[in-house]
Amino acid sequence: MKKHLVEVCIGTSCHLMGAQDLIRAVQGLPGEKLNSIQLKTVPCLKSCDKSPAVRINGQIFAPITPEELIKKIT
Amino acid sequence: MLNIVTELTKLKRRIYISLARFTLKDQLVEKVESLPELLANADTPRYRCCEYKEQAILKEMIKLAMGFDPEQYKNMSLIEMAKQIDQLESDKRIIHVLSVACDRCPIDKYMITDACRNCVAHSCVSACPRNAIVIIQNRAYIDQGKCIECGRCKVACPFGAILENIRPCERACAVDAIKADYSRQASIDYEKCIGCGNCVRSCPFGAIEDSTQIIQVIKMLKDPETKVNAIIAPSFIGQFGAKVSPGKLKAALVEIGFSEVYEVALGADMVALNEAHELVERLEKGQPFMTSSCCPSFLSLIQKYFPEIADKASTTVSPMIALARLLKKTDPESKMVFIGPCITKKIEAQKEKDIDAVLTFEELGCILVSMGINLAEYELEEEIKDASSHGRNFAYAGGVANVIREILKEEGKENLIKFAHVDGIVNCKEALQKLVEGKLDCNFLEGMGCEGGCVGGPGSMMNSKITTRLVQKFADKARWKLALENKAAEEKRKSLAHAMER
Ligand code: SF4
Ligand code: SF4
Ligand code: FES
Repeated sequence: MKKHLVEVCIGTSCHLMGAQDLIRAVQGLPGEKLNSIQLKTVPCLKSCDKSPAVRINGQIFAPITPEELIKKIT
Repeated sequence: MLNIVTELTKLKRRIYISLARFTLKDQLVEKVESLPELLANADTPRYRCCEYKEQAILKEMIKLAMGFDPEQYKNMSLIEMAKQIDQLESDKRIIHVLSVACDRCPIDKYMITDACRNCVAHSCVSACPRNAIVIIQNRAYIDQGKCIECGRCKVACPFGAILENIRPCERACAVDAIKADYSRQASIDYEKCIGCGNCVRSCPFGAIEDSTQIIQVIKMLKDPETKVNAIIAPSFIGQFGAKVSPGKLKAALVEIGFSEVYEVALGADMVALNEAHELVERLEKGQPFMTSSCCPSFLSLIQKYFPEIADKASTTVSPMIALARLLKKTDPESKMVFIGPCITKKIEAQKEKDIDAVLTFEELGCILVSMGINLAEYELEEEIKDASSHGRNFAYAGGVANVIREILKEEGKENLIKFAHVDGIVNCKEALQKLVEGKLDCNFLEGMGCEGGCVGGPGSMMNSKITTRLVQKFADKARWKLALENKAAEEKRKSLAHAMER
């Protein structure tokens, strides 16, 4: 199975808008789901005004909530 | 503490960032009035009944963020306040219930459960002074519009069918300083309040907030005539993400206009030395125990609720005050901005002329964002070398007691002392009660209002478990292990002499 690449922005703007919660939400997925995901952090996705931002398989989503993120990758 | 960023926290931070931006561009007067509409309109997610109510709440939040008591300036428009910003009276109480937001806390304090037997006596009906209880189809109900939450029905019901719900703010306050009144508005009794900030975190509607000095600090930074120092609390390590090094934050503070940046851990070195000697002296004079004094909530808890032992609290000032007094002594004209995780430090600073403003880490983060600084991409770094590992370890629970133990060990006096530490207001209260009753086996008690110590403070942004480890790592890298080896701290402490006392 192809792995989802999930890049969470941890720049200051996204940090303030809950980047940690996004990371925690992904890490909290059950084992087999988590295995299908490659989680990375990046310093900025150039969407600072819409923070928090993530990039999933190359596509940027901002702003995004932890619930929305989980929906998109499971 | 997990520090979850709720939608309301985001909204609050967006207010901070916007106000900071306006101030930077000298557009506050021009733009502030339109901010509520900008942040809450038909297209934005809604947290309350309608966008108009949302905007009314935002107005109150903005007044607080500008540094003023929204109740005091209830009838003043935002634009008027922005125009007179330097003349209006700054907020002294710091923590406020926003009346519009609290207005409809949807919690029905008393509810009748299925355990209602529709008894013949209807004791609840006769107990209610407002005729708020009706019987429909063999079961009693409370008309919540009439209920004044007196609780008489609950006492009256012989089957225990009436449930009492406690509002989150009331439950969060360990000293019963919050009460919801007749109109179901919560209010803080400031005589009882110890400023811990637990209520601020507890309200799911963001109806309890603290005021900020974001605008005032930016104005100081913009004024070329004013020298502004930043003094940063030991718990700052990792607050902007585990990957942002302490040196980067320092460089960024210099870039945005602070003249000098100091670790409050230097003040903590001075405090540790002072407090260790004070402890030995006091015990030798026959005092049975001493409590720490660096956390203002803990100190206030003692003063307000355990007055019989208030004279046993250390009289050493907090690290923030020690450092500020020291710096002001050499440069009385400079301004001092404390940056930390703490709300109650805002209250402490009001009483001290040596601190000109207090920012929390989240407020500083908003200022950085407004200036376009992204610490994750930041390249510059400045060395930080003010403090020993001792001072740096003040940031988490147990740190202070341990440092004092190590100082006294060096001096061969460790055996005199039995150390204990406690964190979180509820636990502090319990420990102090035991101490008063002679049931706590210690003669030095360290108390921290926040769970985990300052790393768990209400203005912090990271999980305190992670930041505690980062703080310890940073402490290990200090130039000196012991406060005693930080000769500057010892000399400075002596040069301040009485100024080290509260
Ligand atoms: S003591 Fe703490 S929880 Fe109670 S009202 Fe004051 S700040 Fe809020
Ligand atoms: S533990 Fe630290 S952050 Fe919390 S109230 Fe006390 S001084 Fe402030
Ligand atoms: S900081 Fe996250 S997009 Fe720029």
